[in-house]
Amino acid sequence: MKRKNAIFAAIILTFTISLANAQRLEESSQKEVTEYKEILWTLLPKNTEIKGWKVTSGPQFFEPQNLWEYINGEAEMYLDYGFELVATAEYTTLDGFRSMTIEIYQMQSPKHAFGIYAAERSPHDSFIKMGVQGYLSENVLNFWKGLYYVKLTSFQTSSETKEILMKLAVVIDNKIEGSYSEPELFACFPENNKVKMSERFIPKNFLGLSFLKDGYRVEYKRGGSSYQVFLVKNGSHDMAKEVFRKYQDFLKSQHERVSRSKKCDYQLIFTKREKVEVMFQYGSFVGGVLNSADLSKAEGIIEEIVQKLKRGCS
Amino acid sequence: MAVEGIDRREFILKTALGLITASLGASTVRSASAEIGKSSKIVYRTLGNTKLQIPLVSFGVMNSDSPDLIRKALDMGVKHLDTAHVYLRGNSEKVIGQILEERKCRDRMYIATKMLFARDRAKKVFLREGSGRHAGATEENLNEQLAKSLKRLRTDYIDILYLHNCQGPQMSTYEPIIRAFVKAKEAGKARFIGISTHTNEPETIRAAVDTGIWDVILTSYNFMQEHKEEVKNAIQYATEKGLGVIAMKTQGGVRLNREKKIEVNHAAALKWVLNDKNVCTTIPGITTFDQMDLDFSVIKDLSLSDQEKRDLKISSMLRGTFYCQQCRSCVATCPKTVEIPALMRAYMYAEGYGNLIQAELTVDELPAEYGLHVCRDCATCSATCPHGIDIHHRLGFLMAMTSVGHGAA
Repeated sequence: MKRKNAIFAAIILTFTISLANAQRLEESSQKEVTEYKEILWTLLPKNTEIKGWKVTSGPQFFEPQNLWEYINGEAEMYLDYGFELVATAEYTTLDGFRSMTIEIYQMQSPKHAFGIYAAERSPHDSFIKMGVQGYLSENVLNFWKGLYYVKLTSFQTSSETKEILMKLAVVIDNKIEGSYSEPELFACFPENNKVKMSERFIPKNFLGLSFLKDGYRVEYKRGGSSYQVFLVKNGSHDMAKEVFRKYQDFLKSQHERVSRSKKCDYQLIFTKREKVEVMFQYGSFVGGVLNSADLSKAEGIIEEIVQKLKRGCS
Repeated sequence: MAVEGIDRREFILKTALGLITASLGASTVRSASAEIGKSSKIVYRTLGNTKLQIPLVSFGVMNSDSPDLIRKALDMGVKHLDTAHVYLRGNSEKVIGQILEERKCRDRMYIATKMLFARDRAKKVFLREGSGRHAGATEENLNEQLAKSLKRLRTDYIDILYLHNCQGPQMSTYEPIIRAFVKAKEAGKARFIGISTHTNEPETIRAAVDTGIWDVILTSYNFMQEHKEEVKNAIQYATEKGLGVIAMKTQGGVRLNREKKIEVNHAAALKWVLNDKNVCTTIPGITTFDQMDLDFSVIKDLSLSDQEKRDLKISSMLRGTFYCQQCRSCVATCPKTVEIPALMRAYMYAEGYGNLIQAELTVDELPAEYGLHVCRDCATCSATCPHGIDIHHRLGFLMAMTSVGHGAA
């Protein structure tokens, strides 16, 4: 009986200690949220920083648990891309004739900020040097830098709208500290035939497969046909082999006939119906060429990628 | 916010999951593989007076990350794709347009897209002037958005054109925009017009029906909704008047499962919705091939097994009024600003897990000026919960079960 009581007490104590730790973590988390809100607030332009404009509402903040209230159905996508917090404010001119909304999304990491920015851009946008990269249309200017995806939207289009958008964007850009660039793994992709501005970073369910995470993909065009090249970096060589195996299982489940080829330091599989798909595993990397019209060209692309990976994407 | 380790809510959730599943003997793991052994005969339903024949499972295309998913969906017999003008700044529509052109199947598919306009979120009315992220609710803006969407989709007509995200009756009956939608239909740019809603659904739907104008309702509808009976009745009202009804957010969606921490039996959730014969089809947002197989497996047999019923019950309990969402809306409604969210946690320990020790600890650790003791000063409880939790009852329970109720300081 005493032993039973002692065990019961030990269980309760363990539970209580674990809960106390969890509570401390949650309090720490709340403190972090407050700090992040303060940071976002400082990034938003203030009245003194934009001549002729003033803040008319906000900032409002939305977190993962209530993002849907702000962007409803799109919230799911932003959450999948590592959304953490957004600050939004509205601005008008002093005469009240023009208005603008600024949103600053804080994402999980710079590559997640790039990811959601790239998901919403189009190769046909007018790109500008703002942050790491941005684009400017008649009434919208979006850019990314560091953890942040910044969106400026005006509802009036005039000859001055673009100029105003640029001025406000520069204010924010200058406040975001640090030097950033496009995710470095893109340097391993071939340059030939690349469709400009088609680079994508997709954190979850890459290629529609739950076991593929943090995927990089670029579009290519040669002649009249398109193909895609992708890369996924896994945690280790063993994890990459496991992912590669699962990819083969997936292809077989889709009734694809899978052929294998062993190269010096990487393994290759390919399928061939109307188009060719070639996949490889090298070290902790899994990658491939999708929808190619030519198997030997696809293999050549993979050889090029592997060589670049060996050199550290230089 | 991303913090290493497990936070308190996750700890409680996982503990609750373990205790409840152990006691009910149910599995809450989402079923990831589907049996597609037999040939799957596609089951169609008719979308109200539109007469469109649509398979029970359609495809909500929100993101454009995996175009091959859309291709596979077409191969499996999906006929209806749903998107919206604003999704990914139009990239969602562009991917659909590209694939339909590639497959030369536009005339065999039913494409729906949605037009979103500025609104006053508090008053739940549309605004004529642009505000927030969106253009004003005018005919000119509708025509501009529609023209862009048609171009992206590479088509000259939309099968179902929705007024996006109507949050109340004033929005689903907003005459200036209704007139604009009717004109678009008369011009042949939209075969049918409808509204989409996932707020105040019963009132919004009934008001939309009563205009006599709309052809289709797209509504949030799932087993987790606290007001699912009212939504069900509103859906029935719509179909009795000849409107077609399409269901979305069948898994609870981001709104109800905000941090996606509650595992939902995906197939069971779909079956629950499709067992309502007034629903023509659903538009799950499919992001993996596994999920697609699972969704289509539902078509073969809509009956819910005992296991599936248990899974839905558990998920509902974890999300529903049993589980405080910690949204803190109640605190402002309490004249003493009692720390009600923490007390709801204490209630969970006591009533949910039978752990009176932890319940007592949780009550005791609160500062005196915000704790349960303060409740003794109030003759009646005015605190309210937007999710339907009976705060007064739970505080009374805690008073009775803990030392506070027994007069301890």
